[in-house]
Amino acid sequence: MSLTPVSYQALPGVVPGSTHYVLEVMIILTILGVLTFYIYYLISSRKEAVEDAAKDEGYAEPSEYVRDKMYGRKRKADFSIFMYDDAKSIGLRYLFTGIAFLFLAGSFGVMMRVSLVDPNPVVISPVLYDIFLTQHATLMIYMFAIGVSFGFAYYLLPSYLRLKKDNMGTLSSVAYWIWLLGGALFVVSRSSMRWYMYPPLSLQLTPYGAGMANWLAIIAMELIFIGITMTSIIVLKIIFLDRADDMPLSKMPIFAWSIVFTLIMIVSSDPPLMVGLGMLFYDFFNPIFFTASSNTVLNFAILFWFWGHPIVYIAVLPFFGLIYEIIQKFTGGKVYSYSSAIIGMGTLLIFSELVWGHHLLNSGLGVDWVLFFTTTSFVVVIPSAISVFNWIATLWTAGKIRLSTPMLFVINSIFDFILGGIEGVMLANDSFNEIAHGTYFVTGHFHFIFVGMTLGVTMAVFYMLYPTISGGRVYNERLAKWHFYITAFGSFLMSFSWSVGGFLGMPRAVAGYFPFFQPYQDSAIIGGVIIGIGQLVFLYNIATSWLKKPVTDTNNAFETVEDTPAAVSSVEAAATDSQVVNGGD
Amino acid sequence: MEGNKGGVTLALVIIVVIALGMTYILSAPTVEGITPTNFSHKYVASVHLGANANGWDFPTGPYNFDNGTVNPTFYYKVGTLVYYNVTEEDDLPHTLTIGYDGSATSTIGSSLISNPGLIKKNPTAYEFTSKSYTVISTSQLTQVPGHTAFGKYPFQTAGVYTYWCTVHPTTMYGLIFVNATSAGTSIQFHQLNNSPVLQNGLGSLNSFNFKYQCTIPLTINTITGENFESQ
Repeated sequence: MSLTPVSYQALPGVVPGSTHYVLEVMIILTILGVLTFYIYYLISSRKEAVEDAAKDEGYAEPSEYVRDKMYGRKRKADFSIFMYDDAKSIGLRYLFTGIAFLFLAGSFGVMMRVSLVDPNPVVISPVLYDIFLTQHATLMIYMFAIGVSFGFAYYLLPSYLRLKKDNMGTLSSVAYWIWLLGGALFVVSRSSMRWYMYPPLSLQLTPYGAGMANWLAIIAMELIFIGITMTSIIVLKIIFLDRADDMPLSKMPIFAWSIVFTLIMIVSSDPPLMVGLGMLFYDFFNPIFFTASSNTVLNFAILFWFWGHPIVYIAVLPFFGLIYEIIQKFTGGKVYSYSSAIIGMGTLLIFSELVWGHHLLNSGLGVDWVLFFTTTSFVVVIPSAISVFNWIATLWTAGKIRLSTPMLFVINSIFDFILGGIEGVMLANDSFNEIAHGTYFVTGHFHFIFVGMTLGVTMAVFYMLYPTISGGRVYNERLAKWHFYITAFGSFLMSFSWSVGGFLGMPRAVAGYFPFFQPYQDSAIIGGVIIGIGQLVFLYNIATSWLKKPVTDTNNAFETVEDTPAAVSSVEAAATDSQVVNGGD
Repeated sequence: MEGNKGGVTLALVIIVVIALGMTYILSAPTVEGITPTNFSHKYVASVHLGANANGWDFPTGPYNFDNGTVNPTFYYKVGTLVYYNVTEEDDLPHTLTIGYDGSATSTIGSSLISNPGLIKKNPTAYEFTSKSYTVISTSQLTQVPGHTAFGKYPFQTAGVYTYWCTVHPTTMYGLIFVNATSAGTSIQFHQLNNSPVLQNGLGSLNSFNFKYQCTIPLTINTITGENFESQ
């Protein structure tokens, strides 16, 4: 057969299977969705919407209404958050979408756990296991962790920084919808190529390889990246250009700094992978970039991990900042060292760009690079330890610590972060990494941090904001405590079982295991199911307590601190400015 | 919200999202469609392939690999049980996977017959609607050059098949044509006279097929009871 390359061309009239029809329906739905979105956009960006809302709320002047929205002390969650484009509404959109994806991806995780009751894949087939694995990882990172981070940034920063104006609403809204569309399409793709999308696995288009719609998954990833890059630039603009004039950078809240570092990480690290995904997509038609035969597959891995390690810090750094803020609220004091908090997180930003190679220590980068990445991975302990010791010192020097649910979550997250961090340092050791890579030890390492910190602090902040976003309701403290204890116990049991099993060599990311590892898998299954039950308690708590009558005002600890004379005067000064809000003009 | 259903709405939305997502993922196709079962074959053929990331070829010696013939096309009669011997020629993982593209008269099949160049580059693109079966998996190979693994596959249905390596789908791929007629007891090389590929100017390819693909006549035409277990 002649080997002259013939360019790919679609076969005429390929007989479609049922999955093909599903995809066609999804494409039609997408087009309809785009049209609907355009109509929605026309409506939501109309000035009349704001004026009507202001009238409904009893404001004579729409600008006053917008100002109050902007400072957000009264911003509640309802369907109007999808219609208004002020920062608070965008924040609540991101927050609730992130929580919905937390539950979706969490259910996938529980499904994976349950399927491992038997060493052989008898509950669900390995193909399904791989799909659940991919979806769980991608949705948790891109939709949950980044989503709630953006949500808290949009929701809290206007109050923290006493913004002068809020005129990026329309663009923020567009970025949100692009991000959400990307997440939805990723689920539709049913891809099973793992969250790092290595070719040639991601180039497979068989249902039994890595998912027949990997091309759709790659488009979805690009949409997610477009969304989060737009949002990052917008929020950076809000922080640097729109904050109050009497708010110098040196006095910005630590949470704002953590968001700054996070967003710089996003915009500086995701271009390589966005380009890489474009090349990968081209490879579907004409494979010239990442072909296994020419050993260029590692190039994609490098492009991926140049983004893939920063994303790991992106998923925790905003929560570093939130921990500082929550600790201050529950101890009544200031953080022990403001400057070392900023330095710690800023150094983490720098090192996040230098340690990505430790994901490829065993991929043949060469001993020089292995030494470099091992060294930087050890050095990254320093900024992490600065943050941890700063939290501990703040707690240590506090006169009194109120141990209500959010604070319990925070203390547990510090504990879990230390455990997971120590495992990370162990993995940074190349000789240990050679043994432990690809085992559940790695899974235990990052689930300690992600479940303990990302999930825990999200829940803590949600509980603190609950009276505001529910319009004056209070959650059931007893159920919330149960939520905390169940989640903390389940998380520890699951991650610890993985760590021990992984230390003994239990391979991760496979649908089965050797019977020798049965005890570790069984205890991890119990832990995973316990975490799931804990989140159901949370959902029940929110649903039932929202049904009750409002009993408190809608202020919350996060924002009332800005209710100072200086803040009020700043509000008055801002009100006299000519503001452009909500895309109204 | 003036109402008090915010939490209930959130819970309902989450339940609906989980239900839809779970149902959708669990409905993904998982069963390999062309796994052979209880196949009674009439013919037996044997192929010795060299697994090389540059393309499938015919090994000429244990360490004297011939990379000249890359990705040959094969022709079988319906009912042929093909024994595959795959010798590793490099230190990379490989698979030997076979996918059914459709009958020769189907649109996709006739398109491939009339223009085999279409299969170029990424053959897995054509497995979109159909089925595949991995004859030799990565776990059977050692990534040591010279090692040989064995597998077998019966071609029960006439039509066009693709064979490829899932690790190197862009270089290691080729076509298998299984003709539509199963009549005839004398086993020989296949229907070169009316091969559609021959009519499309690719007839010269058959010479090496004849050389390497020995189709063995059987004294007993039908052997039954072959059980194939999915791997």
